[in-house]
Amino acid sequence: MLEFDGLLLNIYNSLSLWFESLGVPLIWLDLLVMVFAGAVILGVIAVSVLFLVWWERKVSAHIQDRLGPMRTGKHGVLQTLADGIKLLQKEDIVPRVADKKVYFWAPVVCFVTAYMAYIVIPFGKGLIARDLNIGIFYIVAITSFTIISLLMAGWASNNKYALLGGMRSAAQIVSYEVPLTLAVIGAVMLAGSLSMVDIVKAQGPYFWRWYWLPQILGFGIYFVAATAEANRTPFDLPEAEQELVAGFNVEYSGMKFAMFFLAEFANMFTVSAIATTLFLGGWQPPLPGLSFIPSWIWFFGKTLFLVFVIMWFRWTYPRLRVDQLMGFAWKFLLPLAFANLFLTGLGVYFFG
Amino acid sequence: MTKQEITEKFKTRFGPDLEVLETGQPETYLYISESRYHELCEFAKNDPDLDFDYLFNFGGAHYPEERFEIVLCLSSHEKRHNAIIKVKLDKDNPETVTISDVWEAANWFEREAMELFGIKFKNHPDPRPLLLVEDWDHGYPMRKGWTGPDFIPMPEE
Amino acid sequence: MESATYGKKLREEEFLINMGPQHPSTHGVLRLVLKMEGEFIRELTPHVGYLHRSIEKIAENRTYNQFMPFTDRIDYCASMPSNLAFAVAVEKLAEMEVPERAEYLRVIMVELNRIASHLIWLGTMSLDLGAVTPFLYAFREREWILDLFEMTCGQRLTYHYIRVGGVSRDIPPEFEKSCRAFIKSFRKKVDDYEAILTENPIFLSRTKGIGILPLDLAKDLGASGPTIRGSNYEWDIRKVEPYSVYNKFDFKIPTGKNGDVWDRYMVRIEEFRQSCNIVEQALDGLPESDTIRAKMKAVFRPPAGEVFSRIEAPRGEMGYYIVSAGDKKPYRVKIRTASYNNLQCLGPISIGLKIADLVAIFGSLDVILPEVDR
Repeated sequence: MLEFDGLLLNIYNSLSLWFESLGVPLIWLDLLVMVFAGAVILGVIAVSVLFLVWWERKVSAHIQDRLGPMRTGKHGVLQTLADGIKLLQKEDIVPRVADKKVYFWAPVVCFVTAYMAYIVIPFGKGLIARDLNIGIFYIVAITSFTIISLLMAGWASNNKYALLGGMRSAAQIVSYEVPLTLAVIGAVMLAGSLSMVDIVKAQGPYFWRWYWLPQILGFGIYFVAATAEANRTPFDLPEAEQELVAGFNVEYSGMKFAMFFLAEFANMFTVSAIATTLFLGGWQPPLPGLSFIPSWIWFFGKTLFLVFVIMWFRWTYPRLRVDQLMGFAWKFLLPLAFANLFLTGLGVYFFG
Repeated sequence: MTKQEITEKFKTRFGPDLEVLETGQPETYLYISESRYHELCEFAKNDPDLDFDYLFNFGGAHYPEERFEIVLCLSSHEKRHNAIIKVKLDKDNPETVTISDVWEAANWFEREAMELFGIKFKNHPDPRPLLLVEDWDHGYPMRKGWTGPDFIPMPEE
Repeated sequence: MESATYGKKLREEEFLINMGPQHPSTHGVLRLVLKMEGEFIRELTPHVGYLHRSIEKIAENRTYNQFMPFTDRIDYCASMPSNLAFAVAVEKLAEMEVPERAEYLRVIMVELNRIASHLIWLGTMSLDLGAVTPFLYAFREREWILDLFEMTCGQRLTYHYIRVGGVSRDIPPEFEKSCRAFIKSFRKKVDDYEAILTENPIFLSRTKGIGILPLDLAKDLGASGPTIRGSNYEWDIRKVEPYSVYNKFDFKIPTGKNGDVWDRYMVRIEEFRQSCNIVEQALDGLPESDTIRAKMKAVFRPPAGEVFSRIEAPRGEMGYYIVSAGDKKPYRVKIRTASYNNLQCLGPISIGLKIADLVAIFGSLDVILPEVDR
């Protein structure tokens, strides 16, 4: 397998030479690259979500002593594709009493925010769409937008279950955003940078120097809060099926529903990817001798492992109650996150 | 308490208003007049020897020529004995008082008897229909001889 | 800075939620009208009757033996006990002697069915709490029981196996081996359920201290079965008024302490083990005999009279009050089912709690709607 790093740079350089020889300003090349990167990221999302949905079904099936999808392709790999096609054909039902505009835009906002977060994720060495110098800050900002979309969906559906789900999700995501951000700051303090690439580079290719060890508390807090951010069991209250039927997306059907569904899995991938980047050394191999395996394989391996852990939670744990959920965030995670921040500060001051 | 003791206990208190039914069954069966029905229920529940704190079953019965009946199957958690109390009601205008103030469990039982047999329970706290569809207007289906839109009688062989 | 709404009280209102009849966790077709204040329940009104098939009216128009298949439909998760309840009542009315082997077979089937019914409860209750996996574990084990029943009577849901005067047929020779193997493996499986739920801190926080049913309220509402046993009262018809051959077996009646969801859960988990004990003892003591059904006339006419009887079904007491006019059809049949009374406990103990607690409590009461509506 090959590294994309040098290859992409070579293509860019030869393209820029070609553009120069044609006399076209380089800004056009940059725009072209941007559009290309956007398309590639959309592809990555689509493929990863298709894979994750299938994988979740397989993981849950094997945890539950059954086989899961087996008919569509080998071991049902094409099942998600078939489901996607089915959802595309479904009638798009809009409730008569719904707030039509908001109802329409909610899934779009939900999906777009999930999509935008992918822009600053370093999938491998040099495999990043935009290395923003405030990368992690940007992600925290963008993922908060999910709340708005869920609230929009809950409100616009004009359904009491949806409204309760929307309210729950707003309360939940706002609460968990706080410990999540504080946990992220720990890693940022150690790296001394907000750029995702710099954070990865600062961790180096030795697995005991990755930030999971000095930030073991932060890693734990981040992971729990991230599970809540992605609305996964045991924190899946906004769509608690047994209480609120399906929560905020109860009235959605067809492709609009699929977009929420897509966004959920995209978010799950995002939070795992961020955890990989911040705490597990991103695309770095655990030992320098293992660098013959391409960086993006390391990245996806680590991320998918974390995704697997999130799935494992889901198929093992019951769901928390809404007040227990809030109490857990404010009374337990938040003080712990502050303590972690304080300890990290001391560590950086004395040993940094 | 044995069957005889329970019967005696009720007899000494209610005397002429009581009619003991001789059956081969191990439980006490008795009729109480409608006028002292509620009093008997309170007595059965609160008397420390009887201690019937468990209304096990409650239902109506229709004898079209003579009467309506309501049947209470009482049981005691501590004393572990049973009794069946029956009340005869008027065949044209079955009406009595509620006992849901004595046993809370009677609430739904009475609602059921109310809509299926048309027995009226005075002072019932929540006299809404229970089981039938909301716009049911085909009479009282558990009465003998009732025929409704979907009633198909069993063919006689 | 003065804003437009400053000083004005924001408008608050309670809103009504219509939970059911189609809702994932109302276990069938119960409709609950909830008056909510945010997430809190202020008023709860159950509406039942969506499954009313007027089985009591049907009973008046069928002969005793014809009515037996209908009893299957009263509680289709536990058909065997429903059969038994009617059979016991009619036998008491006709003073019929049942062959001993038939009684042992009845006990085996009813206890297996109790396990199967509790497995459905375990699965659906954990599903209500958001844990999906125990549901499939429970149904995996239930499958084996259904295979045993299918082997015995050819049916998997509505068995019509226990008849008036005995049982419909003898068990096949391979039944005993398979049944013993099941009991052996099932004891380990109960430990597995406990490992995945009982020790789980989230499960504990969702169940402990939630939905406390005080004992006097339970008695007043006529609650029975695991519901009253969870409220720390040892009340089981199998011990109180032994029917069939239950007085020959050695088993315990598990009770809870506080009457919360957790206690009702633990009572049923313990009943899994006790039912296993009973089945094993019944298999050990199964008498060899060819008669499995009492002799009956072609047209069965019990003597005129009335009868009251009750048995301990998985959900609580199932009782019959039958009036016979000496005819081949019963004059009046009043069926008392456990869920009917247990469901009435839901309202008083859920007020002031959250909708998530309501779902947990409802799961722990193990109400089945065909039993309520009949």
